[in-house]
Amino acid sequence: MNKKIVLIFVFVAFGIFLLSSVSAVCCEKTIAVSGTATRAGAFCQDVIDISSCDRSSGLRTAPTSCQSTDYCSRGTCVNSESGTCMPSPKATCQSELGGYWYNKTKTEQIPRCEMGCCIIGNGGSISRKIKCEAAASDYNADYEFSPGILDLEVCLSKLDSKKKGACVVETEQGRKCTIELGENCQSPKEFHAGLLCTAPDLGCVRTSKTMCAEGKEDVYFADSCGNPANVYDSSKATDTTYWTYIKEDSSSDLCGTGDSNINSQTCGNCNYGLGSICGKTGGKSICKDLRCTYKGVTYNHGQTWCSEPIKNFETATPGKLSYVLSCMNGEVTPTLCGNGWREELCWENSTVKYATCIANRWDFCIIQNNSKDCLNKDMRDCRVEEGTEIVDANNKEKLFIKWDGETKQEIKAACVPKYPPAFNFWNPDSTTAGSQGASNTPNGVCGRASTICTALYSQNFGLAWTPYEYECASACKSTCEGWIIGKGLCEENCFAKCPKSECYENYGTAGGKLIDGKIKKEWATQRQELCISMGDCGVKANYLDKEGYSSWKDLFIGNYTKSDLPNADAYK
Amino acid sequence: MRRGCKRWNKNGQVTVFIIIAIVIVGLGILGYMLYPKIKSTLGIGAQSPTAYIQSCIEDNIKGAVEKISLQGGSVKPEVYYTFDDENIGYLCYTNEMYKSCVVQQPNLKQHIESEIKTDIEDEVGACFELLKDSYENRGYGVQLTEGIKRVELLPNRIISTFNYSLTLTKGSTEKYDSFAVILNNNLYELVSIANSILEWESYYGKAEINTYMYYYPNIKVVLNPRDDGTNIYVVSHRNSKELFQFASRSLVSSVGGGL
Repeated sequence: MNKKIVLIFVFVAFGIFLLSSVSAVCCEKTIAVSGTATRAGAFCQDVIDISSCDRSSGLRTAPTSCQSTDYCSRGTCVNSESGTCMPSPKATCQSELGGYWYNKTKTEQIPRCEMGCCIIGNGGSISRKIKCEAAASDYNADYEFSPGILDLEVCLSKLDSKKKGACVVETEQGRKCTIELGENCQSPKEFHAGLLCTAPDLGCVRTSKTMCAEGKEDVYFADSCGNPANVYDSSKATDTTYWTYIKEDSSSDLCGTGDSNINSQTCGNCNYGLGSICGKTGGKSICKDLRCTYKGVTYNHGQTWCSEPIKNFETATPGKLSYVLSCMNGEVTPTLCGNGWREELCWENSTVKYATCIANRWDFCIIQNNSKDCLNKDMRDCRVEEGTEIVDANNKEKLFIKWDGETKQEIKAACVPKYPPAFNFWNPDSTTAGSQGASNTPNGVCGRASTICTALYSQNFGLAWTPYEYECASACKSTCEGWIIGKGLCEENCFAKCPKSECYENYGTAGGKLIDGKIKKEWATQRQELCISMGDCGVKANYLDKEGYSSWKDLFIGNYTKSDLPNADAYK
Repeated sequence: MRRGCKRWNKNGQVTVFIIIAIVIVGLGILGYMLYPKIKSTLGIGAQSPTAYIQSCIEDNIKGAVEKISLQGGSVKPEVYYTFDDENIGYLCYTNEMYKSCVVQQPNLKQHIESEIKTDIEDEVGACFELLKDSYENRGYGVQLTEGIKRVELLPNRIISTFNYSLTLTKGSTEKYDSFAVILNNNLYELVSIANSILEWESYYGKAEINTYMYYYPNIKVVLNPRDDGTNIYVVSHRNSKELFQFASRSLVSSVGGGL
């Protein structure tokens, strides 16, 4: 019994030792160590080796993951001055810069960090309470925060209930009028709720000028004091009522309601959602067009689409990348999907003109050995390449099962990426990681398509055969060795009994002489296709149609007649 | 004779007008070129201390803001990605794959304010010394006491306040307790967007930049993904063209090698 306890203790201790020797070290701050990927100067990083940690001036390290330490575990850094609630460790939340650290990973658990509707002056937005307070202080304005309102439209509707009006002050130069919220127009200023500065006796008069207003989307009439009056409507240029009373921008009886009024000379009721906003063109304020035209197609403001259909990436060439294109403020902006390894591709819903980047889950295609798993779209993006197969380390073919409903059938096939990934093919031993966690090298990924074909061919005018690795050929060779007379006949008969290879044509005789075996064109073509479907492997032109630096004859290594290899001299 | 006289008069008048015009233009150009010298000789070049400090420090602040804005908010970023010969500071970083990043600078606004302050410190001292010398040379008794310096990012502007105490005596006494330099700039707005992107990055990785552009029509956000999983964000103001760029590396799912 005692022995058992001692043994258990030894195993546990050994386990702990092993675990501690492979688990991470938490550095409060890193330093540069050659040969490692860790960058110097980064706070709270889990590293493999303690030598990556900066241990100067009291900086801490711990033989555990950062999440288990008190100084590097994730919490929330709250800063009242800037109004931020930032997920961060204690180590970076400097109190001298105004940070206060809470040991809470969910920022919403901190009352001041809750989200809601923030109204400051004439504007509203969805923000945190603390941000609302800080912004109001920065803008030197009052604020109103309504927790729990997360819909911007609901939030902005609260603005309409705030009454604006003409705020007039007597100066030596005369009456000066601005449009303000009542609460911002205190005595000795006079407040005239709901009136414009162009109302009788308020100091300003109407003009034929138009203007844009800060934070607003519409074009407004401008009064003689430089204030925006109501939304520009040419039919109301001399309408006294229209120049007297404030009309809310959301009123349904404004000109052109429901339209974008792009470039309209008569109506300034712009609609940001429909692609227009007040802007200056030729010195005149109008509803500026925010739409974009790309390759002859017009896109609305905010619409997104793919640089090219995802289908094109089924035959991706080196350098070919997928972008989401977006139309914003009349400008088309490309955003690369992923980090340049086709680990993400652009997917598009052309009906609503919406595009986004989705993961290219190619990593584990090659290890699937049946069509059901290979074609499982919930798990991966693969396809079945029939007529060829992956071989194992011993050059043995891997079985592949084809599911046809309920029936199974063993076929010659391989599961390959539907969208071949990209990688540093020019640096074949560098690390390549896929979107699902697999880690590989370009050599490793492309190498999965490699195989060995033992071909027979004659040498020395058919007197000897080489190579003899192929079992049956070796047997034939031994059988006929030592024959002086009839050696040719022996070999011919013997080899005729050997099973036919899939990769080479059996030899034969011509004019009484043995002829070389040769690579089967069909086999070679299938291997070429398998190779290029693995990623940036094999012979391919790049996305600019520039040839590669290897031809197929460079990749099919060995002694064979090059003319038998399809596209032997092709570099693309 | 009458005829000849009339003819001479017309040509002569034209010539005189041309000469007068050339002289006027010449005097104008000369005056324009010599104006600063004339100004100082006449003594009207002496700006008020406040105006002098504004003009002396403004360009330094501008330079510091531009440099810091290109480098992720730091004069000398400690952890950075080099892109287009610029060391762009990581504001959120992880060296690992499939892990969310650690926010490196959660108090970004205050950090930037502090960096600007540190960067202009020497120039501020030099400007006040020059101001002191300038008044002493003009016969003033000058008493200058160094005070607290403060830089604040505010909506549409950056205010740098120097609580230096300056007393000028020449017959009467003038006293200045504080000097403020105001720079029109949108860094406050850009940093607010950057903070929001960082929060997103620290939870979900790459941010949805179109959302920012949709809700803030004056703001443009460009994302430059790099091959090691780093994302470089360039946040700019469409009208003023001012920009703030920073790097982040979070939830890296794929790299092409050479980590």
